[in-house]
Amino acid sequence: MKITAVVKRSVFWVAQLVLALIVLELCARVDDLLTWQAPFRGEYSEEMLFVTDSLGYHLRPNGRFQKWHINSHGFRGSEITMEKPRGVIRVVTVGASETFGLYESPGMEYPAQLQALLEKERPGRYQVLNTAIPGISPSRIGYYFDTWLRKFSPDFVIYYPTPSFIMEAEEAPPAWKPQPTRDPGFQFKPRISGRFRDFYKRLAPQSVQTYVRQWLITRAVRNHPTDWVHSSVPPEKVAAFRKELEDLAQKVRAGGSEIIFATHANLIRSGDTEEERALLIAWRKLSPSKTESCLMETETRTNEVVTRLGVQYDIPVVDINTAIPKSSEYFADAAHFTDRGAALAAQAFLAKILKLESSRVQKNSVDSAN
Amino acid sequence: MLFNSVAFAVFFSAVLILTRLSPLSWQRVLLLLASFVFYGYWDWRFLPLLWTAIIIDYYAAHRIAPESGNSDADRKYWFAGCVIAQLAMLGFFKYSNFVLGSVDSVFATLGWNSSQQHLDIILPLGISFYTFKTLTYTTDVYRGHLKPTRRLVDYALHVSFFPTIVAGPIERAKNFLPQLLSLNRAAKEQMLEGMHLILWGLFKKVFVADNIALLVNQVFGKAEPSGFEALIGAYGFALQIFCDFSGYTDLARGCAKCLGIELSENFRQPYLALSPSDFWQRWHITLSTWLRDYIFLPLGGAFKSLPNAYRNLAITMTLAGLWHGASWTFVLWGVYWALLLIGHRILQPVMKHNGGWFRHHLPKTARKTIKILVTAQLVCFGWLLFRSESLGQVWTMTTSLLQWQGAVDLSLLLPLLKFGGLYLLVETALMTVGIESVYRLPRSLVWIKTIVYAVLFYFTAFYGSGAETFIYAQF
Repeated sequence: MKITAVVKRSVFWVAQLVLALIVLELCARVDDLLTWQAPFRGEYSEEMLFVTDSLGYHLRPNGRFQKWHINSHGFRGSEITMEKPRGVIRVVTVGASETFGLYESPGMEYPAQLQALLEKERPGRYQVLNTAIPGISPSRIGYYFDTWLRKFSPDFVIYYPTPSFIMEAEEAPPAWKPQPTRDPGFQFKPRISGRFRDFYKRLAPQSVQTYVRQWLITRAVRNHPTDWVHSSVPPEKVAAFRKELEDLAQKVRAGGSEIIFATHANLIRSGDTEEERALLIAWRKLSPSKTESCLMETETRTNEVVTRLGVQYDIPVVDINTAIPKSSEYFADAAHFTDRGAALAAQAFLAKILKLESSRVQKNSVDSAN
Repeated sequence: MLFNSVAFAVFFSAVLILTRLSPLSWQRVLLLLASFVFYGYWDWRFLPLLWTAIIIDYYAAHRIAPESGNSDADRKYWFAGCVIAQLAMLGFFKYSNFVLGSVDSVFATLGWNSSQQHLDIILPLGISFYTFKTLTYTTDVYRGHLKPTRRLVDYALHVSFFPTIVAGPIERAKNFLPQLLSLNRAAKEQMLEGMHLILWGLFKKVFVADNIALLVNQVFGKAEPSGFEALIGAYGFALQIFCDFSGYTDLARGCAKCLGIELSENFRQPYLALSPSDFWQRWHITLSTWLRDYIFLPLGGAFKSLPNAYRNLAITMTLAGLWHGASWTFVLWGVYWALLLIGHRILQPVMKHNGGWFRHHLPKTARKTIKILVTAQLVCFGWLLFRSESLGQVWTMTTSLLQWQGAVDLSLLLPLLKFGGLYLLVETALMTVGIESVYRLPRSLVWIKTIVYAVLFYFTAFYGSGAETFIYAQF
């Protein structure tokens, strides 16, 4: 009798829990539908923004997820024609998530702000394309430029590198092999789990989150051989990165465009304070194979490479690392911008572009005079 | 420690567990300690001020009471001394800079040298609320409506009870103290009702008020808003302040219920008021009844003559405005309400005699709807005065509204429709399944409760715009 009562009670509570979870999932789907016009049924996640085909891993044309809207050419932003309009100077921004824009309000990522600033300075003269792909490593950017971006006849190509990806750099960029597409079949992915993850990130104390991240890093490291973890940047990776940049610069210049490099900015000064340590751990969680000191060293080494290449090949370099103060006002996490951080980056690029334009004009007038 | 913060969730859970595990005889002491911890967490330096207010009142009450054996004159002196002491503390901390600033402005206007002196004073949390509680206690004891409590712990808990200290309800000692004498752990039903109130309060605060606040702050942050923006600002703030303050009250009542204590209701659908005076019987009820019983009626109420009644209303409402904050905008808001209430008193008989056409041509529901709509517009205009940061802004907003200049940006309506709309939707949906008020939900069918709570949890947990402070916590 007693056991029956316990079973009945358990069934009752389990039924309530299931009902509550169903209601929460329905709420999430209605919410997505009303807020983002997302499909009520089927999948809705950031994966919908990406595709892997003959171009490699890139943004899915006309993909949409929350605030991110991709145009028919696979770029974030409004629709454009592949053919450059007459009299327009096209600026193509290349890079990963920092350029694509993660935390900024829609239209506040630095390429969009750069477009707005240029429009103000030279109405109708410039067109900025945000061709960045979150997660793209330097070794794949050259290939993407060669096979796709070149068709858009850019005048300027701005490359904002992501240092933490240089470890993924390979000796020579391989030609992309198309991946066979598989039918995923029916998949039910609960949307409520993502909400709970965001809720935890918003409410859990920083110390708890750092502890959990540290535990996840330890667990990831434990599952790999000891040489998997890098405590410093291997010289061959820096050399490979340097080569990637040289190749990219050559490819861009070969097409008659001007390449502009940028140094990478981050929020961390020395990593000594509690807050900065927490930031570094959060950063490391994304790539557990690199220790915190390795991540910091990567930043320094890549910025050195960028600056040296600039001098060696006479490539304009915008020092974003010094243009943006190390303050959480400008960074939403260790390396991604807030609206204000993106505004500073856009202003720094604007100054360089206008300078390059005026020197171009001067050069043209000297040439025509001769 | 805001009610809508993780720190409070941890604190309240700990208090709840401790009070449920400890013997009943420890409950009051535990709750008192918890209240001091709660208050000290905000700023421990103000704890002695709170203790002073408690001790002054506690000892004075025994000399003020008719049964104290003191002569009437002595009782009067003690009472006056006690009231002056409490008002002096409130006056010093809340109004010093206001008075100094106003004197400076007058001097500057007259062309005299102004001292430009300002005291670096922090307003102690909840001082307006706990001062009113202490004044109620001494007045009730003096009038012989209440016997002074013998236990200092009980009185201290009445003044500093953590769910009410920040922003009320302004609980009267004669409601609160008897509950302490028979304080028991909350029964299962009481606990469920308490949890329900907490979730409902959080929904109103976190989902509705805090999200609408983004729109309202944007409108009131503009130097020159359009007429439409001013209108949206006023409507938005009306919704924000209601959900913020009634949400706070629900949270306070819910927490108290879980601890076995019942607090007074503070709101009864205020925006369905039929007249300005009806509004004050539905809005911040514990304050309006306090003002009635301790200011308006002692001044003579509405009994002697009409001019006296108008004068008493004007004094009471101006003081009500000033109680909300040391600023001329609050004074203006109080005066505005005084004018509305006086105007209503003047117009009421006129309307009764000349309203025949309406009575004959309009059904009762339509007449009621018109009254509600007219009252709501008057209330919303009052909120525009209340929310403005200066008299200059009052002028800007009012002229924008009246001149109706600038573009009509319909996208501003979206947050109102989204956040306010969902709030109304929940209330309406409950009515359609036969639950006339959301407060009756705990007594409804289990599956309905599960569905509603899951919906409320979803929007509260995943739609919060960040822990915003409560509007009334600033008073």
